[in-house]
Amino acid sequence: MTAPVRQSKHRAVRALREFWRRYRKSRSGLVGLALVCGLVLLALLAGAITSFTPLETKTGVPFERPGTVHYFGTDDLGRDVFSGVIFGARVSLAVGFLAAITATNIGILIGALAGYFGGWLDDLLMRIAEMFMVVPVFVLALLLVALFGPSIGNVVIVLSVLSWPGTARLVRAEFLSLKHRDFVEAARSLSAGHLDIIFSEILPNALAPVIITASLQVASAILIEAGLSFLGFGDPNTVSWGLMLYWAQKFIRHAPWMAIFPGLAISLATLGFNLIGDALNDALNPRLKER
Amino acid sequence: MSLLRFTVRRVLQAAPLLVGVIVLNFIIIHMAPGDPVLVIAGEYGTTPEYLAMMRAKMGLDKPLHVQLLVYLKTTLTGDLGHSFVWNQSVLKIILEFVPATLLLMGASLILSVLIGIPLGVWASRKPYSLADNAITTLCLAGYSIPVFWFGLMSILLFSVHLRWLPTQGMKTIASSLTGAANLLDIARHLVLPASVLALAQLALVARLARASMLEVMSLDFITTAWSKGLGERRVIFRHGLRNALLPLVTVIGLQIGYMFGGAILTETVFAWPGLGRLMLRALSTRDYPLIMGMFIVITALIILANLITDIAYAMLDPRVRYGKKK
Repeated sequence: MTAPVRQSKHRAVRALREFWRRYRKSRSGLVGLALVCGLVLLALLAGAITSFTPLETKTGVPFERPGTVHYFGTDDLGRDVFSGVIFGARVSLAVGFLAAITATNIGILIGALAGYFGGWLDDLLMRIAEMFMVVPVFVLALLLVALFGPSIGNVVIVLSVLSWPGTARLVRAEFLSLKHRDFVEAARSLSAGHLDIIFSEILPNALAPVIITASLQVASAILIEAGLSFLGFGDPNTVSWGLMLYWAQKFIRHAPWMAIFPGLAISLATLGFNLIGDALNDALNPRLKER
Repeated sequence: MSLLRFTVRRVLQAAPLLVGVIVLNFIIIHMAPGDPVLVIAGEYGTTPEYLAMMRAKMGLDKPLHVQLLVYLKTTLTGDLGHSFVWNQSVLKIILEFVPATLLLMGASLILSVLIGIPLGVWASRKPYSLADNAITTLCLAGYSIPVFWFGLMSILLFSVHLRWLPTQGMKTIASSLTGAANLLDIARHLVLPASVLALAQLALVARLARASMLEVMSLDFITTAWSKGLGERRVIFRHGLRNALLPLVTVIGLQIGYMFGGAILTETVFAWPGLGRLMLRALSTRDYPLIMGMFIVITALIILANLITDIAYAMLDPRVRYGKKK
């Protein structure tokens, strides 16, 4: 039994190397990767990078311009904007990753069930997905967070519940085209169970579009979270980029730096994930492989 | 299939969607913590009798499924209920705020098409050239920038520093302008919010236009057009763009829902008196009937927009009517 395992491991390494060779060709993809890695590092090392904490008031004079002590200036309560931006990365990235991962898993599960079993189950699940695709996601997210209370956990749950349909439809389409292929028939003739066929045979072949969508979902989750916080429906006890912009709004004329830096951070994070998504699309899309 | 039959079928498909959305909203609002009666009645200094009366009035003393059925029936006949906070019919309140939002969204939709399509066509002329790469990168940046931050920054630049445009509201306060002067005043107020809201949309339109053009321009009939010796302008616009526009119609229609989110944020930044601001006010006062009503109206508008898009598509491209598109 060890030989095939080692062989498949070898094959995975080779596939990964081949993937990296193709991904590397996209300069913008590398920029995106660098942006995201940079932000992850900032988030992880936040405590070591800045000596202030974001909620600490009177670290300096209120409305201090950006300078050598407060790199990004201070806000109306004398809080350090730079430390807010650094610590805010934790919130945005956590929300983005968690929401995207959860939504992707829900989408995979629903899409796989619908595509594999078909029939009434497919009809039912796809009608539900359709409904969620019509509903304006941001409006519904706003409503849900306002009603259920604005905590980070709720924001993640709401975003996950609202963003699975795209993935589900992609996975379903892949399953529809793959489920009658020879290798699936072969597994079935070896009396493999449904779960086995779904997860070990079909799913690995259906993952490419899912991965691309997931990276775009991180970007959109970051944007939506920031939007909610900006409207005052984010977690009021955790400093996030959106919340900083909510505070900054009133002082846009007197202290524009309060708004400039958190917004720039959101833009860079979103841009990073969008660039990665684009590059993944080029690297994983088999139709473009030969170019 | 005739266009009429196609239209009827699409309408029949859209109807259950609307019912589903109404049911969904009902479930959500009633799952939420907090008693709406207490919230609304709290402002007045309450007595138990008053609360009971309010409960009966709102149907809150009946079991949930009865409430749902009653609600479905009344909603589908166009009665969205009564807002106790405003003491007015919900539909009336909403209709008062709809035009401002439609004006904002319509203007930015037009902007994004008028700018986005030429950009996309330009980028597609020489794929991977400097111009193409610049446009592609700008587009990616365009929909990575949060709309509300872009709004704040444009206020900073165009109103605070350059003093070109007004930043808040839809009309100059305390002015009694009429006729053309009034329209001009509204237009001046519209420029910034509409452009801000258009950015993400524009970026998407440009990207799709580029992709669609690239696909069409590689087809045989384009090669024929070139080999007939037609000029570049003619091949691109008469032959290429006409065919590349079709898939764009669908995507733009589907984006309307997404735009509502952007509109809410844009309205907040620019104090634009539309549905977005109404929504925030309704949420902060927990005005349940108004919240639900707004949600239904917005979703209905989106379903309607999708329907119109589908029918427009079928009119433009007869293949859809006969095809197996589900």
